This record gives sequence, C-alpha cells and structure tokens, in this order.
Amino acid sequence: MSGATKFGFLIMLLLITGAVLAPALAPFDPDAISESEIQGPSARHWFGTDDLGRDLFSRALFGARISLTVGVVAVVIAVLIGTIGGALAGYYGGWLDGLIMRLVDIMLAFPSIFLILAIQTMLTPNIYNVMIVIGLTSWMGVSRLVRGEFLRIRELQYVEAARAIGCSDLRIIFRHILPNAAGPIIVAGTLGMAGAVLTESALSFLGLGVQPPLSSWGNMLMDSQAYMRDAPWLAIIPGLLILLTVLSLYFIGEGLREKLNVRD
Amino acid sequence: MLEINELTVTYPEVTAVDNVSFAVAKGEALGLVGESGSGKSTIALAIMRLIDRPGKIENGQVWFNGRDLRQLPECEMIAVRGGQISLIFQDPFTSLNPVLTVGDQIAEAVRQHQGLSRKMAWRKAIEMLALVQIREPAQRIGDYPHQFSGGMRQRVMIAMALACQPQLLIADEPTTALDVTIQAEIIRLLKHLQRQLGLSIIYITHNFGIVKEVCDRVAVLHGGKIVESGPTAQVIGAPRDLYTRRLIDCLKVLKGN
Amino acid sequence: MALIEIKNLTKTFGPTTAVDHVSLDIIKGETLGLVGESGSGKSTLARLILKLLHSDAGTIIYGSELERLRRDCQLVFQDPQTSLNPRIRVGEAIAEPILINQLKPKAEAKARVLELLGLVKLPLNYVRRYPHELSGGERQRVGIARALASSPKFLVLDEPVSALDVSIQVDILQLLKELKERLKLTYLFIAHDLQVIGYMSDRIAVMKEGQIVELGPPAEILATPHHPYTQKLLASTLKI
Repeated sequence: MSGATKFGFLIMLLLITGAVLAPALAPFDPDAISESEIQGPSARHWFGTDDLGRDLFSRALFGARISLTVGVVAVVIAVLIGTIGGALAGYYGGWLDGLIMRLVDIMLAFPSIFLILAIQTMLTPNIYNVMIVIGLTSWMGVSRLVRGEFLRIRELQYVEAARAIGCSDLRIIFRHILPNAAGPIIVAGTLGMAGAVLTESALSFLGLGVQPPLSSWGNMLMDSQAYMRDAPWLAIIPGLLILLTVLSLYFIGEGLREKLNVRD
Repeated sequence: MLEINELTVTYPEVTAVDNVSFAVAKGEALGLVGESGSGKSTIALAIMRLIDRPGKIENGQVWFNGRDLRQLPECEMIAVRGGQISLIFQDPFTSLNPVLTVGDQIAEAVRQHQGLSRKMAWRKAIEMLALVQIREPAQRIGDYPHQFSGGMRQRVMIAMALACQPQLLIADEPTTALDVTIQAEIIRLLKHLQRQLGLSIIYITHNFGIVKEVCDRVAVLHGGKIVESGPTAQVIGAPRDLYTRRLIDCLKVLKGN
Repeated sequence: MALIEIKNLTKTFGPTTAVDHVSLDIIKGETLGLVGESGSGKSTLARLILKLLHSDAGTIIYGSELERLRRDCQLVFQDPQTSLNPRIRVGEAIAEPILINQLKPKAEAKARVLELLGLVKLPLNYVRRYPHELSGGERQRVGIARALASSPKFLVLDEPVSALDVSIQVDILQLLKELKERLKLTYLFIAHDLQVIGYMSDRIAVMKEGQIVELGPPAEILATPHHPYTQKLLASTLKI
C-alpha cells in the first residue's frame, strides 16, 4: 500500500471516529451559544467559535456526521441503481441495453449541478432529499462501468461453464459475474463518495442542502462568508475538512484500484 | 557469436534463470525447450536487457560479438535491439499496432536503425514482405493488420524482425498461437530464411516437434536450469536427464497409435 | 447404437456458416474425436449438441439416457485458467451443479464433492482452495470433477489439454480414459492436434469450414487419409 493510501485510510478513520463519537468527544453542545462573540482558536475552543458564539470544534464534529452520512447514503443509492441498470444492460443486451443506456445519455446530458439545484428548489431542502437527489443524479458512471464489466465477463468461459451446468440467469448474474466486477464498483463508489461530499457541501453552501440548525461542513462554510476577513478560521476549518475528506477518498480509491486489480 | 555465461535472473520470490550458460554459433539454430515456468522466455528478455523490475539480472555475462551486452550503455543497447538481435513473439494478434499499416510498421523499424529516407524505407518494406513470401507485396504493403490472417501477421512480424539484417533472431514460441498447418508453413519459412541469410536463431518453445524439425542443438530447461543440452538427434534419441526423458516419453505415448 | 443422432445441422453467424449441414452419429460408449483448425466450426458443433447455442436448421435426436440434458450432458473446457470462477472455492465449484439441479441435499453434497475429488485424483483438502492456488493441470482436474458432478452419461471435451504442458497433457488424457471406463461414459473429444486425437479416439471426424470432410477409425485416418485436407493436416504434424 502506498504512503498516500495509508494517509487516506488514516484520515478517514479519524474523521469517521470523530463523527461516530461526536456526542462523547464534543466539548460543547454544538447548537448552544457558549461565548458572546466570535473567538479565535484557543485552549478552550480548539477551532474557535462562530458568529453566534458556538464552539466550532463541536460543530465540525457533528458536521462530519452529516457530511459523511450524506456521502455514504448518496453513494449507496447511486451504486445500487447503477449496478442494477448496468448489470441488466450488459447481461441481456438488446432493447433493454438500448433503453438503459439512452437513459444514461439523457441524464448525462444535463449539467448535474443545475439539475440538482432545480430539483432542490422545488423540494423542501432537507438532509433526506439531499441524499436522494445526489444519489439519483450520480449513478450513470457506475452503470456504464458495470455494463462494461458485464460485457467483458459475460464472454469468459466460467460464465459459459455455469450455463452448461444449468445455472439460471439470476444465479449467473449475482454469483458468477457481479463478484468479479466488485473491484471496479468499489473503486467507483469510493471516488463517487468524494463527489457526493463535495456536492453536499456546494448545496449547503448555497442554502439548498442541509438546513440550520443542523451543521454540515457546507453550511458552516456558508455561515463563514460574512466574516472571511475578520475570522478566516471559520472558512478555513470546514474547507480543510472537506479537502481532507475528498483527498483521502481519492487516495483510498487509487489504492483500492491497484490492490483489487492484482487479483484478476 | 553469442555466448551466455552463468546467467542468473531473479524475481522477488523465484530464481527464474539459474546459472545458465550456452552459446550459439553463426548460422546455427538452437532450441531452448521447456514447459511453462521453466525460465525460457526470461532468458530471451535477459539477452535483450528487457527484464522489467522487480526482476533483476543477478549475475553472468551475455557476450555478443565480443562485447558483454550487460555492460553496454543503454543508447548502444538500443542499436543492438532490433538492429543486431531481433525478437519475435508468440502472439501475432497483439504484437502489431492495429492503426498503422504493415508497411508503416516495417518501414519504421528500418528507419529507426538504418536512417533510410522515407521512400527507401518503403521500398525496403516491400522487399521484406517479398522475402517472407507474402504474395503481391506491393499491394499488401498498404493494408492494415486486421486484413491479414494470423499466419500472415506472423510473417509480417518476421519481416519486421529481419528488416535491419540482424545476426541473431530470437523466436519466442513463434507458432504456438497458430494452427498446425500454418505452424508448419512458418517453421518452413524460418528454416529457409536461416539458410538464405546465414542467420543464427534461438527457438524458444515447448514443442520438441519444432526442435526436431529446425534446430541443430537443443538445451532443455527445467526450473530455470539447463538440465541437458547437445545435438538435437542425440538429446531426443537418447536423453540422459530424467526430466528430458520424461518429456520425450510423454510425446512417445501420444505418437504411439 | 447411436446415443446422439445429428442430421443436417446448420448454424450461421451473420455471413459465415460455422456448421454446414453436418450429419453425425455419436455411438454409445465410444470416444468420437473431432479434429479441425480454428474456425472450422468444431466448438460451435459441440455447443449446438449441448444446446448452449440454437441451430438454424437440422435435428439432433438424443437417446433416452440423455433426457435431462443439463445433467446428462456436460462440457469440459479448454482453458482451466478461465473456465473456473476465480472467486469461488474448488469445493463450491464442484458442488454447484449438484445443488442447483437439486441432486442431493446440502449435507450429502459435501461427501459427493470429496468423492469427485478422489475420482480425479486431487487431494481432499483442495476443497477449500481457490483456483489461482492450483496448477493448470490441477485446475483441469477440477473442471473434470465439476463436469462429472451431475453423473452425466455424455461428455464433450473441448480441447481439454491444449492449454497444458505436454507432460501434464498425458496425465490428463490417461485420467480421462480411465474415467470413461469406470463411469461408462461417451465422449466427444475435440482437439486440433492429430496425435492427441489419435491417442484418445475410437473414431475420428475431420472438420473443415463447417463440414465433416472425413470420418473413420484412427488407423485409417492417420495412416491412409483420403481427403486432401486430412493429408495436409497429417503432413503438418511435427512429430519427434
């Protein structure tokens, strides 16, 4: 495993631990006003406090829960849709393949950020809608990938061998093909999660994502806008967290890519 | 002309070639016979200094016309590769670039080593196609690889390999991917070219049938070591080594009927 | 007695006719060798017989022993490297035909797998291994065990040794001969190598461009072939 991948795993482990143990680790209630003004980082407030005097370290910890959950759930949705679509298209081919792939083309033809924005302005912007909308607009890459893998693996002899001993289509898809396509799917999922975290931040930054008083890194960034000059840490800290998350996910994705390819 | 001395090539977990020595004289055909994993292809790569990391030439010398190829600077080695020693591979389906015509690919080999003009190189390419007995070479020269059958592609590979008049040709399982009737044609062609051009050839193969057909001498490899070597008729007729005998016996079982 | 009767079987792929009006009987208990070069249609013919492909014209009549096609007829593949799923352990791979055809309850399947491993002379602890932990010859033995799992009467062997080293080829061929005797099987043995075909077969069919050009006992085909293509094939075989 390369140094970058190790770094990625380490950072992700820290972030996940922080998110899971947020209630125990946070020194303050993330929504409670503990100071009367903005304060810079200090021994009492490691990351300082925000414009309302709330402890930024606590908010960042709780924000990690939201941001990472949104990322994971959105990716799970995207991978599920993408895998099922790609598997059906790749395995059966014909008109089903045509239908699914044209749908993919149409979805890809929309600039997804505008699509997401448009949908979000129509829906009530809450955390559930954010996850679903990101999931529904980011499955196309996975489905192309899975289709490609299915087209390749379908022609391998062990698939014909499975047919020769009388396996059903479903069994061939789930037992013989899918596990052999798992590597690229996992890599795509990891990289997709980085994208989902970024999209969530962008949405929340624009006020169309996670709504206050819940904190996510994106809306922490939004809140910091007015104080960029006087209290730069308000922007730097959530920004840095997003950067670290995305970077570690990319490093992990690259590491997995190398690791998982070796087997084949 | 080529003399290999105590060559050892290692990979992190195996010694692929273990203290191997042999020599090839001018105009001679040597068979390097072994089964998969015997190290026979690694020897070819080691001669050409094409061993990729983590593989490593641990020890030994590769004397070619009085120079140790292991000591040559890389720039001189490039001139040796393809210029004085050529290599052809097993699979003619992936060894040719599908987006270039066969003429381009042969001409490129010539231009690289002999610095001929575009026009001269093209003429040379047609000559080479004729040499490997492709009919109507002037017409076929502009075709793409997919317009050639497997056997024809292997002929093109041979043309490329011989374009710069090398002294030594290393043929690594040159016919394994081909049908038996095509295999017989290619082997006949190589035998003919060897005589006509006074080439030395190293045949790397698992097939004693090919060795019997074309090789003057043979070295049998097993587990990276040469277990037996000698004149072809002697090794096949009266193998001394246990492993060689077992291989020959297997072939006799099949021949039995 | 014909186990399988093939009449005028034809299959085209686009412009090419892979199998061209082939008529052939496979006799119970024999090894019928089918020899031809790449593109001759021999693998297509095999897949038509196993109904892995549908024919365009012609008929195949199966003997009464072959009622349940997917159980009674099996296929052994050329390349043991790719014909086993890399993520499925040897034991599960062999058990799969037993379980999906519900030939035995799960508890008894295990014993059957061990029996099959013994039959192909592999150590019993290979049950837990993955294909990549096995050598080529061992993998081919697993392929054979898997094909035998549903107790078939008829096996198609599609170039079963051509991807293997010579010394291993002979071992596998001998094993196949032995299994045929012991289990009273009928073989369709496909190869491009006349020597291998000659060693295995009771009758040899020579295939070229989708047609059977010559059919006869090995002594005849290998000694006095009539068809020019068979003669060429024989002349091209490099013997020691």
